[in-house]
Amino acid sequence: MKTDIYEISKGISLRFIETDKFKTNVLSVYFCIPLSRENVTRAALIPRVLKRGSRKYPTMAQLSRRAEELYGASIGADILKEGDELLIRASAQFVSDKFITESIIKDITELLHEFVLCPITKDGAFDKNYVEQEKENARNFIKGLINDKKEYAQVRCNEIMFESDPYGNFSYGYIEDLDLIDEKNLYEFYKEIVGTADVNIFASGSFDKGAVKTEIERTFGKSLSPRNPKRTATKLAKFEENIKVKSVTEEITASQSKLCMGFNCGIEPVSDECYAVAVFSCIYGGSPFSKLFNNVREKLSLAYYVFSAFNRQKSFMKISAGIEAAKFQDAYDEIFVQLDMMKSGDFSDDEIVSAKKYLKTQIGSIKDSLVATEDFYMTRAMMSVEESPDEFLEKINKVSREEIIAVANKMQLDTVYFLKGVSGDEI
Amino acid sequence: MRFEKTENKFLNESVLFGVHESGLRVYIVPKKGFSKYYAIYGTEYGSIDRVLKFDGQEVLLPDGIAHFLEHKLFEEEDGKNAFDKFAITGASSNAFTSFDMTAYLFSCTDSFYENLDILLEFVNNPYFTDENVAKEQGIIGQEIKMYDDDPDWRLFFNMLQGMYHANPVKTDIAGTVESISHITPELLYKCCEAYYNPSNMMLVMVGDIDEEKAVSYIDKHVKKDKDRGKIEKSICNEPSGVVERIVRQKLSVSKPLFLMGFKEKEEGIDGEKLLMKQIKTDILMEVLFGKSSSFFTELYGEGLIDGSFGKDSELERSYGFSSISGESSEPETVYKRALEYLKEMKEKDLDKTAVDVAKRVLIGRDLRRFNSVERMGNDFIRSFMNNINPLFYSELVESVSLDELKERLCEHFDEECCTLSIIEPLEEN
Repeated sequence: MKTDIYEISKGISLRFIETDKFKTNVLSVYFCIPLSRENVTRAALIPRVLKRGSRKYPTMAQLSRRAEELYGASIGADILKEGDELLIRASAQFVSDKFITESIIKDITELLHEFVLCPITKDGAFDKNYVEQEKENARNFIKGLINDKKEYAQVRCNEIMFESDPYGNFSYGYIEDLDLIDEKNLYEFYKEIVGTADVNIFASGSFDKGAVKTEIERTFGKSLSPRNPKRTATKLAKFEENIKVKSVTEEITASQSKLCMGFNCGIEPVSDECYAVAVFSCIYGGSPFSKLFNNVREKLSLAYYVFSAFNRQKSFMKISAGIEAAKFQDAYDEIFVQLDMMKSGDFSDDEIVSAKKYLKTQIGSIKDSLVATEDFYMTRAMMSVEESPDEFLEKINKVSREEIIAVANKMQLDTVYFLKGVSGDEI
Repeated sequence: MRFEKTENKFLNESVLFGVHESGLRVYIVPKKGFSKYYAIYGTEYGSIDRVLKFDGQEVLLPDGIAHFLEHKLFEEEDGKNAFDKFAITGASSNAFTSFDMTAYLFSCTDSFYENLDILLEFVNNPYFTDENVAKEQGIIGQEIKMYDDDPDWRLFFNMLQGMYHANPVKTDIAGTVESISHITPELLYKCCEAYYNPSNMMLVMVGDIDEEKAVSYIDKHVKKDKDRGKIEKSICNEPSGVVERIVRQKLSVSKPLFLMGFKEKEEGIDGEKLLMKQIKTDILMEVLFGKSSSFFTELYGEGLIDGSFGKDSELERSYGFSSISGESSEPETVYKRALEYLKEMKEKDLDKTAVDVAKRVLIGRDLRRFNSVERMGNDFIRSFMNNINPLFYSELVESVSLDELKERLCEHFDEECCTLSIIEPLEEN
């Protein structure tokens, strides 16, 4: 696997990830804007409206048909939250020319360009009907979040933990803000993104690099230059002495309850301590052999699932567990018993070795997926960290017991959110 | 042991197959350049196997026992858990129970043979006691409750219950809190002896694998004296038609969910005959309900369906259905429109362009399978159990004619064999 970066023009970078082990390629364009309450709801609507039609393919059926003709290429856009920034990603996954009887890479680049940069418009606005329908779809999607209680509890915990921080914003937006959006102001917002956002383009897979570069320059390069983008710096989750823990319980009709917790870590994303946290996290709750899994779930049967995860950009750890309402206190206490063991160094050398091997497997998975590899590089580009998957592993392998104990002692409880399941007649 | 090789030169993919002296069927899918190796070890035993015919006896098994057994096998006599052993080598391991298969798997970046050793050892050395069975009843009880709250899961099983009269595919894979309470160590051992015997099992390995070395671990753990032959499957004689046309349940959802399925009429076929049926059905599903179909775009435009709309077809030896699903504020209107649409489509000629485009979509989708060792392992073991060679899918897709598709359309999408499952919100907010 080989990577290269080119600056197509100011504010537009093109990164190649070359490998010939896959049957498909990926081409992605990322637009980076600040994460804010004003932006989330509007930004989440953009991918929805784009897929409705373009100038050349004015209906969803025509746009879909074109992608289907290109051997079922999947063309789409979505929203990603990376630290205090929001990314709108448009991407195409398509079969490599080697395994079909024709070359489609030029057609794909044109189609992606058409999809992202030539939406169907009327009198300086998006199509009114499309926007209204997609607002309705977005409204239903946000409401539908409650269907997945595991996800819902995590989103609520995040909102409470980051209540006065842009990171607390839900990346899919807010129902009440949808009413403020119409086809005109949404198109203005879209033009602002296209005109000013920082643009990263990724081409991954196996192809003629020169030809792809020429195609990108001819399409995206031409439409998006010149530009002068600004980036927003991400603030770490606040980390201070004697923090007051936020505790919130909400009720829902369900037989199972969800417990979510947030911890501040206070570690810069460029710091080497991040590698110690990655190992810590595996041992504590981020692997199938973790202390949380083995004790909270397996030994004590207190939870059906329980895991922890570390967010490097914002530097916080979350814990998520599915429990019975009556076992809340027992599960809560055991989570801290296990954390205290980590803090006092009560874990074996074998656990460290296992964690490092587990991370090696995880990195192996990333290298075995084009989308995941692209994601790996993009996330790091956002944090201004230049490292390859192999370089990440090298740092992991150098982590010592002392460093793991040191980062364990930085975990500071900030938020406890309990989504309590009660039967229908109790509410 | 000897391996036979089949190859698709255009795709640059091949498969090695051999039968071990114990009766175990072994497949190797050579894959170079990937970081990971993958192995999946499965038995043709799942939730639909409710009656065990073995040693001249017929035993009625408690619902959920195959899934229970899958959980329990990870536990070992030394008090350890096979997960921990995989953890030491850095592998990630898992298992699943489906309607007709239970499989144990791992992926790893190195120490493949060490992991293979662990996999073959733990699956072939069950350890059950009254205590560990009682403890598992608690854990699985929680899991079952979680499924009870899961709208997608309920939507799916409600459809199957509305669709099938006799086929045990309608029974929840995990069973119920009540049914699993009847599980005992003796019963688990019996199921292991029968269903986990080498002739009833299959091992699929994907990666840059040394055949001889892999076989030496099979020799070590899979013994000829454990061979009991392939276990006979019960025939369910499913009557035609469905139990109920519409099945509803209320759960905590914001918008109604719907799943509308057509029951497959023919049971018990496998090999290329089954594969051709799958391909024809997949082409039809793409033409009828794909993103560029008139059905999808019209209903989307009217706000009757949204981006959650999906289609699926699952045709196996012992059961089969094709379905469309999604969220809709008017599931019954979608249902009515789909039935009318299918009636119209049956009366018209199929659009050749749409069929050709659908074929391209399927060929593209098939190619993607080869991007992941896990995907290959999981998909291929299913194909192998159905006696299907997965390497020549694209060529068969090309060969399907419009007439064959029309015939399949008229036969499969039968209103009499259709069930609509709806999950409705608990109350108006």
